[in-house]
Amino acid sequence: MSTVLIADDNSGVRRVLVSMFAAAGMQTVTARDGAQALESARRFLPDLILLDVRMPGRDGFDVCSELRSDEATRGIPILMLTGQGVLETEYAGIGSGADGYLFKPVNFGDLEARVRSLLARRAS
Amino acid sequence: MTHGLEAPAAVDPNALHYQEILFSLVMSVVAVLGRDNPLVRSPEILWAFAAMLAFNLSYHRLLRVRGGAITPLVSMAVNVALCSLVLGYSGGDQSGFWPLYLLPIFTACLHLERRHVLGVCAAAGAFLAYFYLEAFWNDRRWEACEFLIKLGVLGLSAAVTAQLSVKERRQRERIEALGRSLERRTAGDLQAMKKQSLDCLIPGIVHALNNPLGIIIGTVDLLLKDAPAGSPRLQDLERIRSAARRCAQLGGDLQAYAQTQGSAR
Repeated sequence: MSTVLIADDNSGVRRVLVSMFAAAGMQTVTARDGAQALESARRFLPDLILLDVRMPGRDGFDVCSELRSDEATRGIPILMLTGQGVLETEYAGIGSGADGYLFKPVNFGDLEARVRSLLARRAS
Repeated sequence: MTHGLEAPAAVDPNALHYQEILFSLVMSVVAVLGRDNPLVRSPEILWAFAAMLAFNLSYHRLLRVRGGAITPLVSMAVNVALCSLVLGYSGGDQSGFWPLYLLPIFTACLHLERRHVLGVCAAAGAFLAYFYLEAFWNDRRWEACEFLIKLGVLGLSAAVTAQLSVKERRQRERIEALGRSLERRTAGDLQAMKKQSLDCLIPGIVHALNNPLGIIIGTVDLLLKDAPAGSPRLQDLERIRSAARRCAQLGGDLQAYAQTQGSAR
């Protein structure tokens, strides 16, 4: 069973995402800020990381860059979650090493499709 | 003597000319005090000053209405005529009251346009020349020179006063224009700042709205996934999801608008 790390500062969003992944047959680990996301990523080495852009302390881009520079977490696919539907966010996400991004509010179908696609790519 | 004058800017023809009233009053007192002077015809001169005072008082109180019966230019002309009357009652070309002409000239410099100042100066010069006609006729050169000196003094005084008055008026206008421009600019800046604040605020609001909308849409998605086919709740859930998506779309449009405005600046 695949493990997904969900990093988002909003507890409601975290709970819904956990339910969505559970419904998709995946297990989850959650983090409420950037520092906790880095710690959980290194500790659990999840199959995929869902990273919110706006988080207190270290933001999603910062966390993403650090995960990419770490040998242990470099290969984990990262999907950025953003509430800002603007091109600058997309560029910054790609620049920091993310594999893709999803705009909030997240649609269950989109999320499942993107996650499965990234997991399949990693497995191959 | 007045060629160096620049055209004064906007003039308020209804500005108060208190100096004429004050001057007439002072001169009336002088006329009373100097009634024993052999050159002065008393009480005629007193009547002349009283007429000047009465005219200026009534002009300011009754006649000086916007677009009224008597314009400031006519008022100056009357004052020039009354000054000539005083000169006539105090020895004509021998009178020491000739500087009285400075009164309407100064008033014109302060309140009227250049052509009117020139007109008042010309009128004063013509009236003064009237008293020297005999001297000109009999070729009394010294008296003719005296006339020219007096005329020169009047003209020079007019030129200096008008120059200063024009400078002061222009400065006042510049300050007023600057004030108006500052007012306009401040209003424009405020408007731009308001707009900028709004453009900065929109992404924040949309971002804050997207989290609860995400919870609603995600939860409804899960409920729809678990709901048995044909359940009566399916339509309700679809309606909730559709409404939440419309809200999200509205937020996206607002954000796109804010981004466009930002790029335009």
